[in-house]
Amino acid sequence: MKRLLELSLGIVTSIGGFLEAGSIITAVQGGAVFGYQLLWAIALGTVGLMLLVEQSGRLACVSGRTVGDALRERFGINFFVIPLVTGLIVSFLVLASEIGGVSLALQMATGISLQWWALPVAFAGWFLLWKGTFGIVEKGTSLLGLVTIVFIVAALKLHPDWGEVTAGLLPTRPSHDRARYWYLVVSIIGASISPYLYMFYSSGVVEDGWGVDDLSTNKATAVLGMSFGGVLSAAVLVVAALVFLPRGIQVERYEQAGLLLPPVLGHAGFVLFLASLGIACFGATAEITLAMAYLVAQGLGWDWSENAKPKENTRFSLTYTVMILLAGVVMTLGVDPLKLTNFSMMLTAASLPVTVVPMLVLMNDEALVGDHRNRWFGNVALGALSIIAIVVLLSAVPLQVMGGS
Amino acid sequence: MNATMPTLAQAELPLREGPPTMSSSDGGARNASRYGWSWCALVPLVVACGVSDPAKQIERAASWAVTTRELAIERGVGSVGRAYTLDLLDAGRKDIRKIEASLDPAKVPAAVRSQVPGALVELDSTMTRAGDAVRRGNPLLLGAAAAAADSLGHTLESLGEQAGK
Amino acid sequence: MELRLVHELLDKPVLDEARRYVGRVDGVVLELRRGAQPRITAFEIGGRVWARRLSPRIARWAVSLGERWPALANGVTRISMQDVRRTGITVSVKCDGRTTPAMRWEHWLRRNVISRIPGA
Repeated sequence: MKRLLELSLGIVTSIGGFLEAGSIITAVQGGAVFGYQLLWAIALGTVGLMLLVEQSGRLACVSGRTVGDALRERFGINFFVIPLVTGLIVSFLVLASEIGGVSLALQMATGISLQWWALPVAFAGWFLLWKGTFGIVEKGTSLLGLVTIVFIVAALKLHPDWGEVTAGLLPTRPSHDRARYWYLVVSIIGASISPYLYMFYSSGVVEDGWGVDDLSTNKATAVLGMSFGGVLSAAVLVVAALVFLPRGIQVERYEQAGLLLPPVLGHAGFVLFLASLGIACFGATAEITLAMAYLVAQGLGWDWSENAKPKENTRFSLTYTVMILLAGVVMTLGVDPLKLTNFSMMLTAASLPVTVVPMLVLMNDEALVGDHRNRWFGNVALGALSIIAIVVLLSAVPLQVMGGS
Repeated sequence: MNATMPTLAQAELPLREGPPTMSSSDGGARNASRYGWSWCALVPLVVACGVSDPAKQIERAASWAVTTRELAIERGVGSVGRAYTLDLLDAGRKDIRKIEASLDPAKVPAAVRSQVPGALVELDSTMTRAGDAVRRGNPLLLGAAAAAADSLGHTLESLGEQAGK
Repeated sequence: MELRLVHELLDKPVLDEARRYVGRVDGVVLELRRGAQPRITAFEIGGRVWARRLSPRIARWAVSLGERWPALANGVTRISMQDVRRTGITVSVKCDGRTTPAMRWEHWLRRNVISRIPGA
């Protein structure tokens, strides 16, 4: 019974914590310009994330090592410094865009510029990390994040042609603007498979003390939680395809996304959109900040735990304090949240090989995972994902130049 | 406690520097110039790819016209907030002015060259009128602005299609 | 005793006698012997140690940073192999990790920064 409750909570929090600034806006942009054609990119990103979450969770359950620990221990400091530096740079930009997302939601609600909201939002995120435990950070924001189910409600209310929606799950050639199409494919993949997500997840498994007995819970959380989360992203795209595309609204400013739900759900739709954006981005703010601090602390050999008081892990708590406040400062400078989000999603996608490819080694290392090594299917899937990640890396710069806004 | 328990040595260790090598002392300047040429080669590519396509710019303007219409409609029925409406109209006008300033007439096809600037100016004015209507809380003016934006949206969409041919 | 340096020692987490986390094995000290294989006599923990593994330039930068801000200079902790209880996934040592230079920065931050912030 307790296990079932834990599993249910795990799935629910995975759903509620799935959407964030990048996944919302890339889905909106994708639907507004290409209709259902980019649903396959969301599906691919979701499957990739599912794979990485399950495997990073299994690594942590069996070995008690997080992905950060394992990268340092297995590959040494000379390699580890690469995912450390790229992870910190990319995650910092994503963190700034998430703070921007919350600030933007507050700007849209109050009319007060997001530049004024950025530092208070960063401070609120810091306060949650300072006073909260891992469970509160992860479950609290994710449970509130269930408000994002409004996108599914809106999509159902619009009565899409399910045949056309299903057809969108298969890759097709774009009918126009090829550069933008592939740019959005890469951005959607980056929004779905952010490395901070599975690094945060593996640290969470260790924080929660999961062991070999929790492997089935881990698998169910990864598969069911991420699947439902992917459905949420897909719902955002479907709504954009049915509301923005027929009207010819292209999203040049993040704020235009505020017009997504009112035509379907009236004033409640507007309020729920703002709530979804604000809560989803706030949850992501806390998670990314923690993920960055975990990566630094685990790699360099510092004590770390969100469940401990800040004075028990001073270097760890100082790291997340500095990161979140610096990211808040960036958004006070007037950076365009849409441009920053798009750019950081592209960069995230480009940085994937640095963490995805090493997982192939880690998940086959008998010393780390023993009998719970990847089977052939897991290796083939991870290998395919690694190839996709490398292709994305090679195409990121030209696509940013040719297809970016 | 064991009296002979060994203690940890606290060592402040001097760095051992490796012998100077050709690559670190002489290669540095060569490396800088090689990377310098690579960046120079990238610049024209970036510049060439960054120049906007007039058809796309006109489509962007058409998108703003439709956004103005939708904003006016939703504001009229009370679905969206006043502050949000004014902010978005303001952002839209800034973008339209950027398009006006950056549109290169030489690149716009002759068939539509004379019509585009006028349509952009009219859209700017329509968005201003919509903002005024929201500030005054005047639903009639807001409705008129919505209708004007709708018409401009169709016009700009058509101009964009012609520019893209 | 034979030891697989990379698999069982280097970069592994170090736990003290009370299973407290001390840091990671950032480097090793080898004794070179004529006519015999080199012997590991100790391992080291410290930012300057892993910085040295990355590159001499980064190591010099780490040293100059420590000279400019002594509070940030952790110093290098050297632990003799005689004090090592076990190697493998973790390295267990027979000493109190709280007194090592590796924890100097942690203590300094606790006294001078973190404890001064309410709610710590």
